[in-house]
Amino acid sequence: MKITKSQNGNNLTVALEGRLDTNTAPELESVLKNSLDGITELTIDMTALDYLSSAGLRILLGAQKTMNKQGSMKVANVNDTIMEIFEVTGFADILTVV
Amino acid sequence: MAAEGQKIRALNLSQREVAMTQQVCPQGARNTISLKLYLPDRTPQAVKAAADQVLDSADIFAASLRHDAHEWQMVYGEKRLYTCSVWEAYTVEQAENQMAALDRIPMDMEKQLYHAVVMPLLGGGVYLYVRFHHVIIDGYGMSLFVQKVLDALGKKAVAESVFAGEDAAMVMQESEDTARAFWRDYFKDADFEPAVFPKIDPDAHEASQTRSRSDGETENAMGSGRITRRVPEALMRGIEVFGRREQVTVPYIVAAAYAYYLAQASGKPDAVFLMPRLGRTAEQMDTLGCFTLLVPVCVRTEGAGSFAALCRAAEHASREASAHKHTGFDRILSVLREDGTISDALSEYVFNFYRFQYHTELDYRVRFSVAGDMSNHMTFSLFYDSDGGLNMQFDYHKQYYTKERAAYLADALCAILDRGVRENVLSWPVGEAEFQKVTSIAGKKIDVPDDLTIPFLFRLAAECYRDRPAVYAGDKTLTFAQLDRLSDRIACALVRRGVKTGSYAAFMLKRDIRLIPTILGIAKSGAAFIPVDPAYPSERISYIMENSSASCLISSPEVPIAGNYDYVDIDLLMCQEADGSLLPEVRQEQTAYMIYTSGTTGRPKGVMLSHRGIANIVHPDNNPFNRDIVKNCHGIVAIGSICFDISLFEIFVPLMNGLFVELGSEKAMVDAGELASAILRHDADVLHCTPSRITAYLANASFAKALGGVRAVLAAGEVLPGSLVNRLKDTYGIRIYNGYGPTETTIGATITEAGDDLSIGSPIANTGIVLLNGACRPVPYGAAGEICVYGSGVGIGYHARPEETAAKYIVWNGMRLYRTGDLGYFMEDGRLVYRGRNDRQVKLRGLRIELSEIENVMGAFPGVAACSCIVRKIDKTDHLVGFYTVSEQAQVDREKLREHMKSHLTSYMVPDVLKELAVMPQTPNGKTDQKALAAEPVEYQHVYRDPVTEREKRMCGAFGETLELPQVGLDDNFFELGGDSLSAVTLVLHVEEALSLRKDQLEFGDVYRYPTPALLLERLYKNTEGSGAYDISTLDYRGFSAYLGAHTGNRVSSGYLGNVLLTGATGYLGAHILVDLLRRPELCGKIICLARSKKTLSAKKRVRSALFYYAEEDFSQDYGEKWEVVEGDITQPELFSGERDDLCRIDTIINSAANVAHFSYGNALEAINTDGVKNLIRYALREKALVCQISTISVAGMTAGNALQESFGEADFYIGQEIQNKYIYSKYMAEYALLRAAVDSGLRIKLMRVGNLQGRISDGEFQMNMHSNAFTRQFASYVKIGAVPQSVYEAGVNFSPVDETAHNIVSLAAVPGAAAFHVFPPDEVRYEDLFRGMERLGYRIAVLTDEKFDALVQELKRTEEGKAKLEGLFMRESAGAYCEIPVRQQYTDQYLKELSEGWSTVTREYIDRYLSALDGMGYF
Repeated sequence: MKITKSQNGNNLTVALEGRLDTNTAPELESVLKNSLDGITELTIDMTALDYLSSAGLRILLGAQKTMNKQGSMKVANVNDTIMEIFEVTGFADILTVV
Repeated sequence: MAAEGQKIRALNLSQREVAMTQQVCPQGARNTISLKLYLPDRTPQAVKAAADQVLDSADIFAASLRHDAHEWQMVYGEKRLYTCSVWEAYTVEQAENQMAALDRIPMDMEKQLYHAVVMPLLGGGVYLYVRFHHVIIDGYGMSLFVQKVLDALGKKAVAESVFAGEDAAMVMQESEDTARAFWRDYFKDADFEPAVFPKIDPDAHEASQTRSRSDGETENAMGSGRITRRVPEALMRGIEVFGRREQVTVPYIVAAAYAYYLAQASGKPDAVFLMPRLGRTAEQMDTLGCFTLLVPVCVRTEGAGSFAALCRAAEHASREASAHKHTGFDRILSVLREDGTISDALSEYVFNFYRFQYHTELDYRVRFSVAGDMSNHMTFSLFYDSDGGLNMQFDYHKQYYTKERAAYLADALCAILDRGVRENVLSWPVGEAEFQKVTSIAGKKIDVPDDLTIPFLFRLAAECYRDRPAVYAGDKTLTFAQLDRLSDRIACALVRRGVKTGSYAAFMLKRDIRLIPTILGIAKSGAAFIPVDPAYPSERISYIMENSSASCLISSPEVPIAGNYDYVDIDLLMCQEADGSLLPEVRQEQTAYMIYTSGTTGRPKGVMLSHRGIANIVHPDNNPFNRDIVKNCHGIVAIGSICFDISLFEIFVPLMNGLFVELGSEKAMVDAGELASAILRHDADVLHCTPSRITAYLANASFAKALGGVRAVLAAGEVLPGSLVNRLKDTYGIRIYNGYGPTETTIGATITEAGDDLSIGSPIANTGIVLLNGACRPVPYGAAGEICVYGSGVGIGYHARPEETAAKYIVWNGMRLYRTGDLGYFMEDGRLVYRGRNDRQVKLRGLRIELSEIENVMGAFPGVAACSCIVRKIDKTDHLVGFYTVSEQAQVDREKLREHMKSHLTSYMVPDVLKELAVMPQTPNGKTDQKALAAEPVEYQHVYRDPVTEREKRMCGAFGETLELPQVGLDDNFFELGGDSLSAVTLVLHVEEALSLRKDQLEFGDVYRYPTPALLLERLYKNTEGSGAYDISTLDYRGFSAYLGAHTGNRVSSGYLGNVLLTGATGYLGAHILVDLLRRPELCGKIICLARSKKTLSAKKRVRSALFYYAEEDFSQDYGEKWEVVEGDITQPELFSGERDDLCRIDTIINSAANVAHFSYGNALEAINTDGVKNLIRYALREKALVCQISTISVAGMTAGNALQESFGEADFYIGQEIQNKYIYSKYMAEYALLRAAVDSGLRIKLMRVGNLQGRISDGEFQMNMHSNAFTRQFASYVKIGAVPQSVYEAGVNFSPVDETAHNIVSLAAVPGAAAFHVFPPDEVRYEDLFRGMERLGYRIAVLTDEKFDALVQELKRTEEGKAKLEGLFMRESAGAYCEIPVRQQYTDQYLKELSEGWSTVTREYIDRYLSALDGMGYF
């Protein structure tokens, strides 16, 4: 998976490309861990994300919990496949999908 | 009070039913039956003595009927009431006539119940004629009577017969609820028609009814007829051989043929007929009396692959129905009516079978008359002759049958039987003679030479009518000669531009003088024209141009949107030189034009028509309208949109026959005044107009005046109301014609003259109509079927749509025909009656509704002018909405209209909303605009029933509070008002509070089963004992235990699954099964996953996403080779019809598709879990595949009920357990259907009863749809509350890791010879261990005594926040695969051991992984 960060002041956008699973989740987790300080608006851009496994969902939930304390988080450009996962798991109600 | 020596008895059930039907028509001969016994060598005196002896021997002949205050009673005297009289001698013929006359005399059951006559015959021999009221004897009883007379004549003893004894057999042995549930289930999803034929001649019927009322004459004299037919010897032998081979008896073989006929004739998958069943106990077999009970028999004919299979289905259906005959026919009817299965009649078809072995040395012949007065349409009776031959007797109702039709039925049955027993196949529902008739409905043959084409015909006209006016448009005129020249120029210009024979040229023009020359010009150039309406949306225009690959678009700067397209200016074409030598010869088979119609997929489709159809339809002798205007008229006003083919009729018929065309302007098409001016401008005398448009225009004074000069009107496109016909005829002397025909068959197919408001007439010349059912078999003459058109007009097909062309244009019986999708039937004289679209059947709340049926009723209400009915969503719920307009000077009271509809329609067919409209919206071509109606604002006001008692008020209040509605009536449905599973929990809490209920008095599931306040109150207070369990005790379990016993505990050998069809692959278990199969490729061949698409997501994407979600691998390298995804779901029977070529041959079906909602409203559960499985069964039987059904161990029952055993093993199914939950019931019924198919039809099955599916053993991962699992929701509830009751804490729970379960299922599926497995680990997991695990994650959960916990729950119920925490506890009834009956699994364990498979021990590590997996998803 490829992770691209772009920061603009307190806004951070993390773009994901490829597959978010058990192998790649720790990478995302550490990227987020090291980048969220002082961030008030986090956007996860899923334009190029093909697949998402359960391990990936947990990372998103973790990020959401962190951001609940310091600002807000959006998940953007979600394709239909991943949107279905959000809906079935109930994450559609937890995450802000734009 | 009984007089001395008298006994008084209530009527038994059989008699009550007879008396009840008699009350409807007290004076008729309806319930009379008679016997005619011919004795060639007995004297009249001996026969009289024997008859009297029998009359004396039975108490029933001393009985009379009387009506007490409440009910009928039989009063038994001491002696027979009548003796047998001896008449004077007659000839045989006279005697026959006498007896036939006697059969028709009404019998007043309060006065006389039987009548016996001896008729000596001139020339020797005697007839004994005895007529009975059915209330004292049944068909079997009549045979018994004959036997006793024969005995008396043979000097044998005649035993005394006592009817007035105990009535054991007539007592219902099951509870009312059970009986109702049986019949409801028996008819569940049945799709059938009660009758094959509509009334032959409704007008004549009305007249006869009136007559019978006024002068007391009954309908009997003219009401019924009869034919008899002896089954030919060869066929009889064939039936017997077949019966022995297939082990079915003769009556079921005949019943199967009858059922098949009924289903095919009405175009339905199922057939229902009524069958009298013997209601006698063994002791009553010698009793003269009435014991017969009528039952409906519903036979599913669809899917029966062979005649033998159908015979077995008929036998099974008959036996099942017969086992529940004691419900009583009347009650069965009322159950089905309440249910909405039927609206009025159940079946008009009766099947009787008489087999009575007479024992006598005497010479005799006997005949019975069993139909009495016909109240149904057809009574088919089968009798054995004394010589073993079989006689078929058809008693028919003359309003529905003619003698010819009855004979056709006899032919058809013989034909079905013949092919059935000889070849074991199912043939057509018409015999040879009828086939000739149904394929002979055609218009007259006229000679249309091969060289006639549009250019050729017009040239002929131009030569003939040179200087006569041909076209008027605005202030311009063209004579025939001018039009010819102008169109030549256009044609030549097109040819010079490269337009070639066989290409397309589109035009988009205003309705001015250049329009008609353009059409003719394109035709002369050899190209086919495509009309394009400038008012079309631009996407449509672009689509047409692109789709047709038209070589050019002809337009002009006056068309505002023309500039958006690359077009050829018409003026440029018209000013070119004509050069006749440039023009090609046009052949009749060439495409003349292409018209785009709306396609079902939303994309318009181009219909290609040839010159042949036009040459035919413009012929002066083609149809009565043509004959009329060619002879009597001189010009037409054309106002049809050029994009509809009727405009071509308006233009070509007049032009080719020398009449002028006044081309109405755009305004004249929509404005009555403008149309009036167009008529008057050149005194046109022909008009084409849709009925609704002309009705609307009549209000305009100038239009009405202009009509004065009009002679003929063609009203096509809609049903023509008789009132309009009369009005035009009487006021204006206008002859009005109505045409019918789809674009695909060149404008028209049938036409009718004025005054015929019932039919759409007869085929035009060189055209024929045949009516087919869904299986493309001809329906019997007079029955409704799909109108299929053949002949000269049948078009070429759809442009670039080979599949649709192949589906709609078919070759049938050597003819090319077009299937219109419209329904119709033939009247006796061959005219066609239109019955609506076959796609106007909609489903509302699961009920099938024919919209046109509702419209017919609405339209019959005085004052209603036009009406239309649609299904609309109002506040998220589908409702039936009826729109209507009111005739001039009339008024319609909406409530009266509603009453009228209520009295003619079953309740669910009465629209919820009725709305009056000023005008009915119309599409540009003058038909009712359904889209506009769908957008019409409406308001739904539900029928509100006020709560009255205090309890009712509280109950309604609780509903209102939950749904946040100010008012809820007693009959308002919780879910229709917006309730869902979450608010259902709140509702239970509110109701408990409002009615101070005890804990557990109301179950969560009750809300789903009793969704209105009234029903819920009934559940709470009426039926306090009710366990709420589904009735599974009366199913047919024959053969199950033997089957399961033989398929349990056999030796294990390894197996191979072959090609696998896997359903439910996107689900938790299904995905893991798929992964397991893919990881063990040696176990199976190709895997086909059946999955649904969802919104924009394809089935394939969904399966791959699920695979990745769970397995982090999408196996794309194997896709196509090892596995594949096919779109569809098991609720679609058509998927398995054998026509899908994307399904390869399947050896094993693993069905893990299920709706797992443990509570649900409506029929979603049955649809997938039970009916879906039935579809799979049919498919598997055909494919000879194994069905491996993923079931649940909960089928063992939640409560033991009357369980006869102490535990439930693999070889058990019904052991007396009780099932209260709808989900579990649906899974139980699926197992039942599978076992039935295994026992009855040899289907190979495997039942995989699984437990509480939980996290993966490998990493604890839980299901994606985690919130729908009952167990985890309940568990989470305890965690959220922070407390758990002691009893739960100490208990254990079934806990099945999904990956191991999937792996074991796959392993077991491959084991041959075994049928049922209990696939879950032997040891339960203790709740205590789970809660300790939660503590390790940092949650605190207190263990409370049960009392304290309950108190805490009561406390929590007070706040919204508290209620939210409690929500999961309501799932208790189905959580964790809980069974009261211990479940055994020794055989499954043994198999797994031999396969070296098994279950991992649940460790603390696993529990931690599982709970962390849930916690990581924010579950708690």
